[in-house]
Amino acid sequence: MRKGFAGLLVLSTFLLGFVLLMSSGSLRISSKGYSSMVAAEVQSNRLAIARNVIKRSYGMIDPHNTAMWTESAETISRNYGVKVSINFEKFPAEANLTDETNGMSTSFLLP
Amino acid sequence: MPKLRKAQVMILDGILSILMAMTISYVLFAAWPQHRETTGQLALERAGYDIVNAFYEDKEIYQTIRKGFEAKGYLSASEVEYLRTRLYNYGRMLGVSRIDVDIEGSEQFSVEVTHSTPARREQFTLIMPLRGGADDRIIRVSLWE
Repeated sequence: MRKGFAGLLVLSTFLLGFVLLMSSGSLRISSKGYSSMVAAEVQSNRLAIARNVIKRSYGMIDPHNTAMWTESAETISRNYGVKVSINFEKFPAEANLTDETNGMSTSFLLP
Repeated sequence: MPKLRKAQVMILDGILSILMAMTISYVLFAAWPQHRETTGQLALERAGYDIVNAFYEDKEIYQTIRKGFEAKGYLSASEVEYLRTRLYNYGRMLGVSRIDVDIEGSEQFSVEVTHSTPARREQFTLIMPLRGGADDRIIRVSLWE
């Protein structure tokens, strides 16, 4: 009886340790995975907003005011954490937004 | 005394069974209860996309800003009040508690949507070209959760 009791005690202690170890590791991994997923989602959304602002505002300017608009586009892109490059030599003009931190980028034609 | 020991063994046996069930469940199904964060941050981000669109798509908002700056060079009190009303409806629809708007060359104004204490803020920026792009205004819109 005493041996059985001691055996059960040792076994349950080991099992408890194993369960706690597995669960803490699992929580850490799932929490980390979830946070990075949210961060990527946020940055992807910011890239989409910057793209939207650039496309819509470009449609409202006269062709001879592109220099001033380009400066504004660079300012707002910085605020969204992305870098913008616009190629006016192409027709229609082509814009490229790059998020160097997360490696995301998007290219699109300006209207 | 022997009765007490038997009870102890039974309790321990019960605990052991629970632990074994948890372990088997975890190993087989990875069904450990996980902590989930709220998606509040994402909701605010998506609201940001919509509010930025509103400045371009909502003709009333766009025309009010355009007319104010192009005609007078500033937004009058009645124009700001009108923008407040329009933005209040967007804020209510998007579920934000407050909207702060900062237009270059104009005084910053806020729209209180709910009376709850604002907890978290995200800022969005947009370009509002005036006079065909000869006068670009940067608008900063902050949304509060």
